[in-house]
Amino acid sequence: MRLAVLLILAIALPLVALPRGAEETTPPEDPSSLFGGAGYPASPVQFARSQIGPDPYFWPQICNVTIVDFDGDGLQDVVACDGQRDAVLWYRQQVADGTTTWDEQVLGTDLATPAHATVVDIDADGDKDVVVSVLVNIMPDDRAIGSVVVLENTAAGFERHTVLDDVHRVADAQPADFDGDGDVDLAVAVFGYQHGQVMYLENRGNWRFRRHDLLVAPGTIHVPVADYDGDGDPDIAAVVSQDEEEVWGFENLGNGEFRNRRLWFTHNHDIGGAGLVSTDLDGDGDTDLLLPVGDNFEFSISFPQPYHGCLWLENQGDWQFATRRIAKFGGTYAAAPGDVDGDGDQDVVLVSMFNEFDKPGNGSIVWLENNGAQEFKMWQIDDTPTHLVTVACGDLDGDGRTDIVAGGLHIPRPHDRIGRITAWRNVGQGAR
Amino acid sequence: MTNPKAGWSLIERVLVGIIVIELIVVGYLRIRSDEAVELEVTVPRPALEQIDTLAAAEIGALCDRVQEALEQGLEPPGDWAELADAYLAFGFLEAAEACYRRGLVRRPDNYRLNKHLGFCLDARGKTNEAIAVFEHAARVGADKKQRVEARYHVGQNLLQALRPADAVQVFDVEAPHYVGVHFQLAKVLLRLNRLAEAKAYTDSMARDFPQVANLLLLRARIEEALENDEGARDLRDRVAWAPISMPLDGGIARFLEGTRDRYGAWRGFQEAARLFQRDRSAAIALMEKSLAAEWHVDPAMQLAIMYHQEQRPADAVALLELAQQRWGGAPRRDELLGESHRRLGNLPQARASWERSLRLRPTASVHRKLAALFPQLKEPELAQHHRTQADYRQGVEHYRAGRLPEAAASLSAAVKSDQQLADAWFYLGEAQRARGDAAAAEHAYRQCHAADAEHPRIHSRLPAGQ
Repeated sequence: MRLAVLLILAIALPLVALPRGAEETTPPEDPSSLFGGAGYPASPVQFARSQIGPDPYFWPQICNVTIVDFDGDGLQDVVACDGQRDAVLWYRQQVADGTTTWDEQVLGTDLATPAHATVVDIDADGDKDVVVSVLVNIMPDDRAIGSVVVLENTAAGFERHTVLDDVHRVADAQPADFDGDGDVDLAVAVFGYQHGQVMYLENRGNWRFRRHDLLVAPGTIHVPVADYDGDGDPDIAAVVSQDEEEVWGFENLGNGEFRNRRLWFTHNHDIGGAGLVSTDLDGDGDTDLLLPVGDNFEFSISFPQPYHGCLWLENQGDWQFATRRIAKFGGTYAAAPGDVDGDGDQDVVLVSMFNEFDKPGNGSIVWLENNGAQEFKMWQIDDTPTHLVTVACGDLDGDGRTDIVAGGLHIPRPHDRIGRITAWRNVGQGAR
Repeated sequence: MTNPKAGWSLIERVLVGIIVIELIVVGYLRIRSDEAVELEVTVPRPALEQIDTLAAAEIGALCDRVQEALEQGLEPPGDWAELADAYLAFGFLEAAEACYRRGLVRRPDNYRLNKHLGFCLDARGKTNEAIAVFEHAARVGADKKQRVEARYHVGQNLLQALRPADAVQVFDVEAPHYVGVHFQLAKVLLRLNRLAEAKAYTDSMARDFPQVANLLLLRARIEEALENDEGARDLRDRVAWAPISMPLDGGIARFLEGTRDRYGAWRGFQEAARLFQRDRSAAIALMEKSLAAEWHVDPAMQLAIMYHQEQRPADAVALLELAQQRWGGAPRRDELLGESHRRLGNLPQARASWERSLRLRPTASVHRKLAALFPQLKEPELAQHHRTQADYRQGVEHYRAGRLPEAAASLSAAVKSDQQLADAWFYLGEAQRARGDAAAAEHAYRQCHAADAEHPRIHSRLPAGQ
């Protein structure tokens, strides 16, 4: 017996105890980390990239772009907010001998970090004015430094009217006749920092607006206006992204009265709500909401997270919204709906502020192909320029296809693929 | 068959000898093997050329030091932590994670290494791993403060993973060191509609932090959910001028910023600020060198102030104009630009800069500067206008800081100069209201209404129709 034990020990010891290579010090990969920064399959719809406006200088800070026929000449123009130049700029499209140029005209200056410009005929005189939401400081700041400025289109140029000041940083202002008195009022997102509100500004004439607070909450980014309940008057939605991550609805009860409802919230207060866009995504006749999530611009390290992407808040009537994730895309900062592939349904374009751009090939702009049943497939449009924060869809060249314009805000590194305002002209499937 | 009671046979003795030799050889090979594993490790080297050249050189040297130690069979664990921290602070997350893991091989129960690895995993979006690492940190924490801190981060990651009920369990600890834990707990409880528990926590915190904006807002939401509309309204009114926010956890941000400030250009900026008190020329030289390595608007402003204080207004003007081109305007930068122009005797440029500063954001300070400038420009009526505006803005600044008697004094001076200044009347009403003087407040509000019946906020302070 003793002999047998010794024999087994002598044979087994080397087999069991001899080292067999390096100890595994890295645990198995967390499946969520497989997301991180990423590239996606190349878009079957081809795009031709071009630059609108001057070359980038240092680190551009384009906060907002809008596609609109500003001068009514039948050509789509671009209106942009430039935080580096403290200006709202109009890029007027001109076509001569088949060549497109973009003539820059300054609509307003000394507008420190203009966050959003909304084009509307606010004084009902038949031309287009611009409502500018002024943030003043792009970094966290809790002082009452924001304002809403209207650039009135006059024969002599654009005249400046400050219609709201003495408030914290303003991120968005959207027009509508909320009280049904025939003039244009404004819904306002006061982002602030620790202090913020959603407001309704009642137009009292002569560029005077009376302030009504609808919600006290810091971090309101966008206030898209639409008739969400289908009762014929304009309502307001708002995304709040600071102490809480929420979407609110403000039902217009008439006579300037509103009823607040929280439409969505999450326990993940790091999700990074970055904007809110109203659109009828499923074509059922009511207005849904797109919620891009991916603002991770808090620390010196901003990294794509597995929960970044885009949520669809589907309007189910009676102020009920069903939430569904339609994309995972690191650092998503903005969304724009449009029929990119021309198949009659709404697709969605997303841009990213942080997608681990150290790694070449990681996308900065993608589109989500809608198969008509609101099932989406993600296609990469480009990886250059990086750090895109604003996007708009429209038919720039009048060929019936949906083109894209986006703006870059380049504070975090890397700084090797910088852009100000970039257009992606849709040239159709399989051609370039 | 061997008799067990008999002595050891030769073959048994040989086998024992073999086993002893095997044990010696195995032990030796294991030791060698461990060393070999460590020697095989190559120090991760991310693309340091992306960061400022001074920091890149210093972190590169740290890499070399760790690599050299490894090659000599040494492994000072502190170096792994130092390198990992540097990588994390400069955003090289993958490399940071590898270094933290390497450091933990020798010191698996080191609280700091575990906590920082948790930060790193959290930043990379590896939520489940971060939870596990922070849980381990909570187990190995040396004292209650560390354990509560680690649990706070467990809870935060549980919320990211949409596990609020688990987060409640983790946050629900006695947490004298970490007020943020109970604040987050109350928020989660409110979302879970556990209102009485949420209210108990916020009421307790309110005793220590009566004027904190986000706590007041949270309490207002709880009261609203409890259908106490009046209480909610009162709390929301108080939010508007609550001057401070909850001292929430800023641990990660502070750690990252503090680590970044130990390297390269950012260390230079910090050192220059300290050095400026003793040796201004050396401080300016250090700032210039650091700014050349890493251009950033805040230290550029800091250097412009140094130039200004060193009577070098032309250098300040050049730098501020560059900052404006690169980063856009800022009220404070334009104010300093105007001051530098004034020192250079360029009064029209000073006026332009200060007027631009006011268009970006009006302040009492700039109004006062223009009030002093306009007599020199032979425009005394504009000087009076700016003096009045300076009083008004000063009053609002006092009001927002909670200095109510000073606010009332400045605003009274403003309305004395200009009876039609509705905004000043409004804020005088606000200051008197906050001081509890209802009659004085109503008088001021009525004056505001008389001066401007369409004042944007007066309707909320006077009964309808007045």
